[in-house]
Amino acid sequence: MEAGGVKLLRNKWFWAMAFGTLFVFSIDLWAWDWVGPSLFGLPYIIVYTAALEAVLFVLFLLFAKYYWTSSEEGSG
Amino acid sequence: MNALSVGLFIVYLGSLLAIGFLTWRVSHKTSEDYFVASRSIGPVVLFLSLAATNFSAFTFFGFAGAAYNFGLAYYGIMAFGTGFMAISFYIVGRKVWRLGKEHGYITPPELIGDRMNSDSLRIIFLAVMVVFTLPYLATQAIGGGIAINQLTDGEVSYELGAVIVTAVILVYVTVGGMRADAYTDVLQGVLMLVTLLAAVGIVSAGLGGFSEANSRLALEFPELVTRPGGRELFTPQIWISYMVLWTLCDPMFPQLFSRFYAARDERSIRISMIMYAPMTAVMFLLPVLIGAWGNLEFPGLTGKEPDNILPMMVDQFAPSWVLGIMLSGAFAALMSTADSQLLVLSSMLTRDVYKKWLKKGASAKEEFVVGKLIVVVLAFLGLGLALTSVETLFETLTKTTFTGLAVLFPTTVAVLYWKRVTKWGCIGSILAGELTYVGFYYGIIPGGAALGFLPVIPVVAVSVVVLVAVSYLTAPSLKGAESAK
Repeated sequence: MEAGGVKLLRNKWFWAMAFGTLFVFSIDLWAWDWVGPSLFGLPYIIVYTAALEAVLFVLFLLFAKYYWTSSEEGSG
Repeated sequence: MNALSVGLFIVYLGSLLAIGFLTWRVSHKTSEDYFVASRSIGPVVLFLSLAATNFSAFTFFGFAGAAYNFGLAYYGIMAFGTGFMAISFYIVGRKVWRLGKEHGYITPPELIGDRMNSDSLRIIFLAVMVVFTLPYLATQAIGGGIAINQLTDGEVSYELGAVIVTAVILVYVTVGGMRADAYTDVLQGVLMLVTLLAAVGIVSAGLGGFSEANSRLALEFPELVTRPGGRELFTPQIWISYMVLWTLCDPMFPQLFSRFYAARDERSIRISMIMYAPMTAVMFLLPVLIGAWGNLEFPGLTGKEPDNILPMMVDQFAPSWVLGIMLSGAFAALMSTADSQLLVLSSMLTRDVYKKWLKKGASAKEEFVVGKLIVVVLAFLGLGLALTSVETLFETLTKTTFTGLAVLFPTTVAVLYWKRVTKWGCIGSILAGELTYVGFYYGIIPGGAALGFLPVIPVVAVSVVVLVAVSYLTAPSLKGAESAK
């Protein structure tokens, strides 16, 4: 990853914004009564939640690799 | 009574006891080893132990029952809310582990009280944790009694069932402490996952296939596949409330908090955080699916009947011995929570009461012995509560546990990070939060004041405001300032 990208991933405000945005996306008011699109017959709310969990997993992975190191955290 | 299912269940209980004795062989006679396994738990065991402890009997029976009533949207608030909660492994867990290693802390009140240099705060923090954990311990014994009664078709009474479950937990926790607790969690976590996966496979096959079951549900019960869901439970305010609730209350469960002390290193906590999202994504989907599908086979259940929908569905489509294995999964869920509660309650009573107030100079070996004795006393107390009729007290405390513990979150974060926090700010925050909750619970404060949110939102808001306001009005604590560095 390029230096600029790594620098961003070591910034605490970036992570506050990333997790905050994901939390806002979990309250998807714009799709409150959606049923589709579905996958294997599973309705939107299941598919969407599973997608959120996948994004959360990736965020945790990057957070652990670039920000939460054993010695020091990133810059602020 | 099906001999095969009972036989498998006995093998399962025997395995737990064997793990207890194996861990005993490598243990040391100190309180640090007994209560936090000498801070030696690695990433895989820590992750499975955190997950198994977090997922109680409610995950098995309660989720399915709730999905039966409210629909598949229940998955959204439970799975993502709990997965997102793992961010607290960084916010709380990392700091708790560091301070624990540096200062030898073993219990949550010990850290909070010592950092703020306040015995009063330590006592209040301890009281809140004990009051909201002890009834849950008894609830697990009740669940065990009911499950054994079902497993044996009523041949073993509920009371004897509760005694058996309590006795097994008592033996392996007394013998092996946190190490036994954590390693049995590995077996129990795997058993939970495998049995739930098998249950979904069996039930969906019985309903004509996975996609067919979902299609039928959407066609016959359209309100259960979207929001606002059955009984129109899911309003935006309720949705937001649950997301906030899990994030704040889960890390304040003392049995989860104490696991941060037991970690071998920060890497173990980090890996647990990463793995929590996929774990919750899978584990929480399975009972929710079975519960919602339950409407296709058993429509019109009322009262507490939906809480039995998971075993009812498995029993509908599988031979009876399979039901026995499923119930072992439920046992795994409740025992992995109960053993952790038992141990952490013992650690708090040993360190925060016995050593702090009764015998200040107690040696590590003495604490180890007292801790074991307290485990025995607590196990009998939990069993006694389970066998006697104190339902009103139980219901009140278990219903209020989540919000009651969430009140501790602002104080914990402030003690870990905020240099300006004071002991009076913390004490005021906890008391104001709990009193506000009492006001909501007993209707002294009108429910409408929460504006459609669960009480946790205004209750935590009050806690935060009092924490900040009182802290600025009083002199900061020296240790509190040091801990924030």
